[in-house]
Amino acid sequence: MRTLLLAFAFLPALAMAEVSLITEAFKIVPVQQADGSVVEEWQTPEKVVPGDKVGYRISYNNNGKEAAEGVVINNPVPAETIYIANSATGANSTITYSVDGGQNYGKASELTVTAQGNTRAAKAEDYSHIRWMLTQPVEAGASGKVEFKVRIK
Amino acid sequence: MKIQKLILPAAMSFAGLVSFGAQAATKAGIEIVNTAALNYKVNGVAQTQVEAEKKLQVDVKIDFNLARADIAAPNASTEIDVAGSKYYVMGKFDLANTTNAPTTFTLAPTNGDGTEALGFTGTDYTSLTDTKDPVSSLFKLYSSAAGAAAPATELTGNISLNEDGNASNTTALVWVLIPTSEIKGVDKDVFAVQLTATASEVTVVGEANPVAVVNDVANTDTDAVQFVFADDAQAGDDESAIGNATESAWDALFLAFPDFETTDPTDPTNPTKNGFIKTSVVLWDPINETNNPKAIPGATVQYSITLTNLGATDANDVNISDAIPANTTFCDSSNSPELCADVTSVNAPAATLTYVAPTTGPALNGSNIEAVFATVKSNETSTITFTVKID
Repeated sequence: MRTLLLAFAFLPALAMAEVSLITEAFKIVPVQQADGSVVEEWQTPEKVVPGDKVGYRISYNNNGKEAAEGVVINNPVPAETIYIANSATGANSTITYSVDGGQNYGKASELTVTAQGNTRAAKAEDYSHIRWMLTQPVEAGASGKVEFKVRIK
Repeated sequence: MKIQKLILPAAMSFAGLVSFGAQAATKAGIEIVNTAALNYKVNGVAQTQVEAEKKLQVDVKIDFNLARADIAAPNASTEIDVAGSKYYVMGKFDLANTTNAPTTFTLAPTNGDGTEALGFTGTDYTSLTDTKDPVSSLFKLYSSAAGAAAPATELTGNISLNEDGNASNTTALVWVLIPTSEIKGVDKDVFAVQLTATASEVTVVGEANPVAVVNDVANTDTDAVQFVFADDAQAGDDESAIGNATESAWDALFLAFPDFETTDPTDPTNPTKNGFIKTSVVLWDPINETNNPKAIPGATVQYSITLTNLGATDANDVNISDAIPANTTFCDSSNSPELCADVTSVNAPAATLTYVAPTTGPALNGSNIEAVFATVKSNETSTITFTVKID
């Protein structure tokens, strides 16, 4: 009976907010500009081979009628890829990383790994997961995105 | 919370043990899956997790290197025996596959045309160019492990190597052999050969049959497995100039024989241009004595025989025999004082040559002056002198 009541209590909330999520992948290509500078362009990933940089863009959209609070996005670094240091971005978010398969998260400067009894500062290639915690609610109808880059092994 | 604290060090250690160092290239055809998960609350109540997934198929990166195994020197004209037949080695090439898929390469040898720079770095070979072609192009292709001393497996125009990072069979030594009967030439002839390797087929994860290599520069299909040609890539290349799935390299067979037969009639007494020279000089006659002596009866004449190996390899068991000329009589210091001298061998007459003393002789044996050299190396010389009286 108690379980049933609790379920009932949640129901209105479930019905009132709906956040959708899209992941897109791009091939990152350095393109020389007319003025000689080189700019990284995010292009449709027609051909992707080892050594290429790939950018992921995760877009969220609050289609509901209530603000979404405490939004947390978790993204494992895909298999066969290595996270590129400092490449994760996201407006109004706190970005943390995991080096233990997503069990614990910490800021880049705080993470350590232990190998054969020696503890050292974690490197970007040690990261297994990336987490964005949004510092602001996503209002009804609002949208946003976070991004990160990897290199294909 | 207590449990998590206990688990934490163990989990950290485990993560640290996983190797994230330099790794083999991801195999062509593998799908890279990215999954993002979003959790949120509405009015303090946790909502159902939302997930979004994106898959990328890894394409084929054709990348390999073909290079002459010995950058310094051409192959020596040393006969080798392979499967019962005699061959010379015309080319030895290292082929290394760094493509992210097992790859089959088509191999094609072609004769040099005399114009190309072969680029040997060894001091004696820097200016080497192709001088001759074999009688026919009966090339045999063989492979062996890199660095092996002999060809091992005959190839039928192609070779298959494993993908980058595989523990075995990603490199091979490719041999271009030519039957010795097809090589006709003289000392220092250069038979250059170019080997071309073209990536023709790859094995892709998820495909039952090998996939033919095609140029996909203009292909914009994001779903199909495509090819990127990364061979020959140089910093600053634009995409159209990076690679064509083909690499080629030169090597050569350098004929090296001992050679005493070279003659240059324009400079007949120069031992650096003539392998075998005989000269004579009148030393004394009974009338003029040493003052412009003439070849009259009773005159003393000195003969010199200069032997020089102008070939590129050692000559062994070299025998010299020179008959005392008709109408002359051998003389030496023991039987005539008139500038007759003992048979001897003298030092190198040219700075670029090295003197070699006979192993036996020189000496008069019967009516012949004889000398034996166990070995006369390339650019070694010896001059044998003897004197006679004109009858």
